Amino acid sequence: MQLLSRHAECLFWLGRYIERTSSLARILLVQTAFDRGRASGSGWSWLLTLFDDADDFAKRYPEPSSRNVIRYYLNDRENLGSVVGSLGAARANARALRAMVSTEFWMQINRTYRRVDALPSELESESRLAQTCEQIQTDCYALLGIAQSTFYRDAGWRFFELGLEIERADQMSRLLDVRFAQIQAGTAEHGDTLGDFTHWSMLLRACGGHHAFRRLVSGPLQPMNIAQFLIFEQSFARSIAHCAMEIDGTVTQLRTHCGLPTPSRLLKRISDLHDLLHLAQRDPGLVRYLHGFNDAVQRELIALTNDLAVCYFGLEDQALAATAATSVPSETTPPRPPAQGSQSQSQDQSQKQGQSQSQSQDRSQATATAAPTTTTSRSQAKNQPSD
Amino acid sequence: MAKLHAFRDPSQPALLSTYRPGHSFCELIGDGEENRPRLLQFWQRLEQMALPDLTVRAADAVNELFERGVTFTVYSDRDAIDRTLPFDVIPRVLTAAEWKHIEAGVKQRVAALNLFLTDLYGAQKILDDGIVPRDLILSNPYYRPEMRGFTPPRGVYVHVAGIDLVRGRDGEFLVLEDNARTPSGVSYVIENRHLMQRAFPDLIEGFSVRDVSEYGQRLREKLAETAPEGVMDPQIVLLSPGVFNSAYYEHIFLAREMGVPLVEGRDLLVKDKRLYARTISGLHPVDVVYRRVDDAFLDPEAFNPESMLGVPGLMSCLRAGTVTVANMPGTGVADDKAVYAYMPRIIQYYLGEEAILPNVDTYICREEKDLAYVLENLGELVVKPVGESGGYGIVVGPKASAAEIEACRKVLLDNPANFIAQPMIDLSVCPTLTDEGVAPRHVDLRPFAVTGKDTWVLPGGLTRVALRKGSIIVNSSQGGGTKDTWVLYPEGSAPVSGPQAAGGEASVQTQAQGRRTV
Repeated sequence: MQLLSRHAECLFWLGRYIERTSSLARILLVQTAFDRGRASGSGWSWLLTLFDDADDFAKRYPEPSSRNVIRYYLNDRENLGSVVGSLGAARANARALRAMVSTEFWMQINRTYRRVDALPSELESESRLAQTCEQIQTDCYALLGIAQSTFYRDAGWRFFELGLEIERADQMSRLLDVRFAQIQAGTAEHGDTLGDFTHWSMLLRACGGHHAFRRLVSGPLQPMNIAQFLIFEQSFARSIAHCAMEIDGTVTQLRTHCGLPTPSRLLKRISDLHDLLHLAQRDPGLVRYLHGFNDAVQRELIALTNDLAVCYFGLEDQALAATAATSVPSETTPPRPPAQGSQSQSQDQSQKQGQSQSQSQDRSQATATAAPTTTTSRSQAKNQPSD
Repeated sequence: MAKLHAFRDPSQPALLSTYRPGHSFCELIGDGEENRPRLLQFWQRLEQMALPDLTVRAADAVNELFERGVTFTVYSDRDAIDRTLPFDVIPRVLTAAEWKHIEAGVKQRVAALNLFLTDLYGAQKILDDGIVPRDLILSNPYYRPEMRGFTPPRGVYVHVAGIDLVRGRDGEFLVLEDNARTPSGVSYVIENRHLMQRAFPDLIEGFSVRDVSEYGQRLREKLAETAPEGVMDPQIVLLSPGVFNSAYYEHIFLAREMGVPLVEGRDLLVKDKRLYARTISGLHPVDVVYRRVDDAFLDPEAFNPESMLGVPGLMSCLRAGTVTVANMPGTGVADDKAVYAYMPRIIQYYLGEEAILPNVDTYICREEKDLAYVLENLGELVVKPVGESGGYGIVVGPKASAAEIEACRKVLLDNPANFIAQPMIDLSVCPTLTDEGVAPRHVDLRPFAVTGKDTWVLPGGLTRVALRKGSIIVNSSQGGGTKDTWVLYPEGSAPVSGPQAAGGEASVQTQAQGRRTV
């Protein structure tokens, strides 16, 4: 019997949440370093722009001080897009996959989660923050390394990789969009422009590309060069072009190694992503249109996630009927598993069945898989497991 | 490399020098009248161990269980906490003769249970003949009228059974309870053994202990034998309530041991009275469901409509004969504590045999005469609610306060049919590692039987131990732990454990010396 759709979906989101956690930690780390050379109070609020969290943040915090923003993104349990939130979601998926993932992986994700979970709500110093972020990043690398060394290479591994690469591309497109969004919103500091050197330098470091970039370009840092590198450099593992190539290759493997049909809509989607990149690469004014480009990339990635859900995770979709290549019989595909509210009920039943001793749960624990998204990039960024 | 071996410092007292089982039957030394020769060797082996060493290694062993994820899950407000079931490192040993008796008794019991259930959901002869009161069955909450008129493949209702046994002062095995719904705990039997082999190779070496690791394959084989007619290579799945079930680890373990997918209700769907699993390549037909979901949650169309854990329409597949569900729905009526009292008569009725494993004397409080006796003797009896499991709601007369006795009398009078009572059994004890050294603690035994064409009993079982001094309640929810359970081969008939088994005592000596240099 082939892999269960639910397990495939969990593996996909496991990959995404680990990558998301890692990316978040890296961004916090770089900002910490960057902040040291500046007057206090600078910098941190751009994170809210990056993840489009300003509204949610304003509901619970009086002001976007560095202290508040750090707390919001590091260990605010109510923010599902925080480090502790993403990691919790990754762990919930791993729990649902315990029959599939290695014991080593399960232990490592528990250790990582416990470490973050035990953090005080406010860190005593910035150096402590830097240490913490480094530790989280290292923990995430360890997780990926254990996965790489121990996961069984069936279709599930490909879905794990797809999650990883899609999230990586998504995170990159968001990073590239920060400056534009800041200027657009009139919140850029120090009269910075789109071509501000410090910003691009920080960006390069935020995605761990500084060393690699320097091997390629020896002259002064040019915003255009950096943007080109981060988007199109095939040899840079976090570039959007590299991720697109990996996604393409992994989907191919689903067919060649795992014997799965590749529905035409999926092939079309990947080809659209490539086209988008090719066109942009030929555009000399790309930096000026970066925001539109980033939006387009994020939309493609959301659509791709949705396509995967339809083709492999059993998501009900009208388009399915039109796609002959897939073998899921559409007319009988039942409704999606219950989401959100009903989960706590099934969880409650599940516990009663084993005379478990507890009563209630944190909602964020109550989940194993992630519901695919539909419309905005915002919901994509926030997509939390919900059923 | 020399294996670690506990070497006893001659200046320290022997491990068992202060061990006093009192009046209880001791699993190691018997009734105290004479040392049983077969276990003498084991006694001697234990005597060579040093308490501090044993304590340290026991702690390491428990830590290893945790590291390997052999856990059950407890939920707090904020988090899911993985705990290990307390594990005692001193094994419980059963001789070949004892096992032969148990095995025959369990097989007899399971055969009777299946015949009984087939009859209850079929002709109901046993009710017509007045052996078991009709209203006791028909008013039982676990009786499933939906099963009426349906005969499962090979007449097997109870594919997996766990029969709880205890030993009284005379050492005779008695059945305390039948578990015919979804008995759990078998993963501990196997994991405990693996743990002992890794952590205490020096303890097990030289003994001819029967292997327990084939359980998963046997279960798979028996489930395949009961697949719907005409299905040659059935697709089996294990249906779990999901990650929030405290036995989730066992579900993972068994799915892995059997080599079958671990599914949840939402992974399955019914189409035209056929069951399917949703996979990445579409719908895949399923023939046999080993379910660890209770009857009530199995199919919202047939049972509890609120259930999110089951599969709508599963019962229609079952009745159409396209899928086998193990255990079948409706088995709860047979392992009910009130029906239990009739088991010796049920065995006699269907098999024409005496029960090989007798029941504990049981007073059925729904019967006036018994109720009067129970009320008269509350201080001497153990009163149990019939519908509960996990040791909840039990009142142990001899250990209860006057107030507790009176409270018990009141609930008894309110609803006598909900209770049975049994004399307090002085459960057998086993040497157990405690804070005060090695001390006697009460144990029971749950052997597991799987049934297809015939019945196979796992040569071992779950020995649960009441870790609290004097306690006779062994349930894990009430402070119980587990022990590895060794079933020995008949003398001279079998392979012995350990790589240097042939060396016997000599090799043990060598290792003891090796330990000094480590």
